[in-house]
Order: sequence, then C-alpha cells, then structure tokens
Amino acid sequence: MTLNLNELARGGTVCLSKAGVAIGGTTSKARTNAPNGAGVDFAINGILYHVADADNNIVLTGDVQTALYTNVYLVCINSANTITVVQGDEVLSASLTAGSAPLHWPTPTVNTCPIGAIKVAAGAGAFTPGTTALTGGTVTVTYYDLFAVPASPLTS
Amino acid sequence: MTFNFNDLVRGGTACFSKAGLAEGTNDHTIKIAAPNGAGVDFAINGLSYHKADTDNIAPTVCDEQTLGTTCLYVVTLQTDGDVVVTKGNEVDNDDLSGGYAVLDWPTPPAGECPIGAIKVAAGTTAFTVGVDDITDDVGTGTITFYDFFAVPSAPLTS
Repeated sequence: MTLNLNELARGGTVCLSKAGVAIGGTTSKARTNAPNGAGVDFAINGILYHVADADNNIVLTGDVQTALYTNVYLVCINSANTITVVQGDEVLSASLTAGSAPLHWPTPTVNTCPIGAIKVAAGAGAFTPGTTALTGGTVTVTYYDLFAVPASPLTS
Repeated sequence: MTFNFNDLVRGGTACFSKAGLAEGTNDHTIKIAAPNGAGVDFAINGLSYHKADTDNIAPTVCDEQTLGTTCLYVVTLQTDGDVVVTKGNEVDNDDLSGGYAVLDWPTPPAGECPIGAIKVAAGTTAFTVGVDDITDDVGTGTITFYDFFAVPSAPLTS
C-alpha cells in the first residue's frame, strides 16, 4: 500500500528532532542532548512544541527489573514539556538473544509524544529504575531516539 | 487504528520546526521566530524547503471580522517562502463559550504548508487581519498564536 501524505494531513504526534537521549550527569538519570544543538521540536495532535536540552530531565520509573532480564523504557513528553517514562514488559535476556521472545515497545501515554527509549539489560543484579546507575558492570544500556514508536519489536 | 509510516510513504506536507509565530515589530505584521534559532524546515508534496526567521511579515489582508466573534486564520508557506494567511469562519463569542458552536480550522490553500494559526477573539471592535495591529487595534479582544506540524484534526472549543 502506498501512503500518500500530500493532501489533507491532519493532526500528528511525532518527534521532529533527534533528541539525543543519553546518560545524565546523575548516572541514574538520563537527559536530552539534541545533536542539532538547539533542543527538540515535537508535535502532539498537530500542534508543535519545543523543549530545550537539559541534564537529568529523564527519570526512569517503574517496577524493579529482575536480574538477567531486559526491558525498554519509553521516554515521552507532554505539551507542558514534562517528561515521563513508560516501562515495558521485561523479557528474559537469554530468550531475547535466542530469538524466542521479542521485546515490545511500550505504548505511549495518551497526549504525549514519544521522543526516545532506553533499553536496559540487567546483569547479575536487579535494576531499580531511577535508582540504579545506567552505567557500570551490572547493566548494559542502549539509547534510542524516536520519530515515532517503531512498528516492530526489538529482537536483541 | 495504528498508522504505520514504514512502507511506501509518498509525498507529505508538514512543518518540521516550531515556527514561533508571534506579533511582528512593525504595525499589523507578524513574525517567524523559531525557538531552535535556525528557521523553519517544511515539506510540500514531499519536497523539503526552508524559511529563515523573518520579522515584519505583512499578512494577507483578510475580510473584516465582525465584533463579538472569534475566528481562526491559518498561516501557510508557499514553495518560495511567501507567507499566506487564510481566514476561517467566524463564530459568535457567546456561542463558542456556551458550547453551542466550535471553531473549525480553515482548510489550507492547495500546495501550501500550514505552519501555524492565529485565533482572533474580537471584542467590542471589528478586526481585520493585514490591516489592524495585533496589539494596538484588538481592543478588548485577544490574540492567540499556534504552531503546527499539521492542521489539528479536532476543532477548538474555546
């Protein structure tokens, strides 16, 4: 199917700048650091908004992630530039790498724009969102910048 | 319904930067002052264009808006960067605040990219976009600017 975006486009919730999600100055937090050097433009329901880069502006939340499991945390922003995180469903890391269990992207909160995501693979210890550092030997962390939530789940 | 952008996307008319529409410095003008500090990227029918931040843009002279009404004006960019303002349908202020009427976004002219809108709530005096000054001539009314990715799908209810 061809998707023709030419005519009568209405609404739209997408992130229009690479947010540059990365570890924060406080290592249990993350930050936005757009490589354009000028912050992030994003749309919610057709209206455009702008948020400046800031350190420690992404605070992970959710249940304690089990040791040896992987999970993805979706970073969302609302029209007031408040950033929240939606925790996904954790998957045993061994099952993920074996291809027997994909890692699904969480569903964004209504009326927020997903700008990025953070995949956390917990090692021998549990990972507590917002408390455990996003660096060091116990976790492997991958950052994603989103235009929209990918259609396919993660398979690694 | 999920709207999947992955496959065979063609064309596209959208604004990729918050335009920062605001009142211009000179009388009865508007300006584009993108908060990214680098102007506005936009697409028309799949081709990308750029408009630098610009002050003192003379809006299209629109029909006079009746006093006591609210109206939306959509602001569009043409491929050459020219700015066009298109007037919507006036709604009586009392009908809008009473929930008896909604404020529909105007349909952008074909082949132009909507980058924002201006809501004019006229008070005790009529108002003409392109002639009257947003600060000096709106009287008891109010002016609100919006920046677009695309025209919102739902009308305004206030």
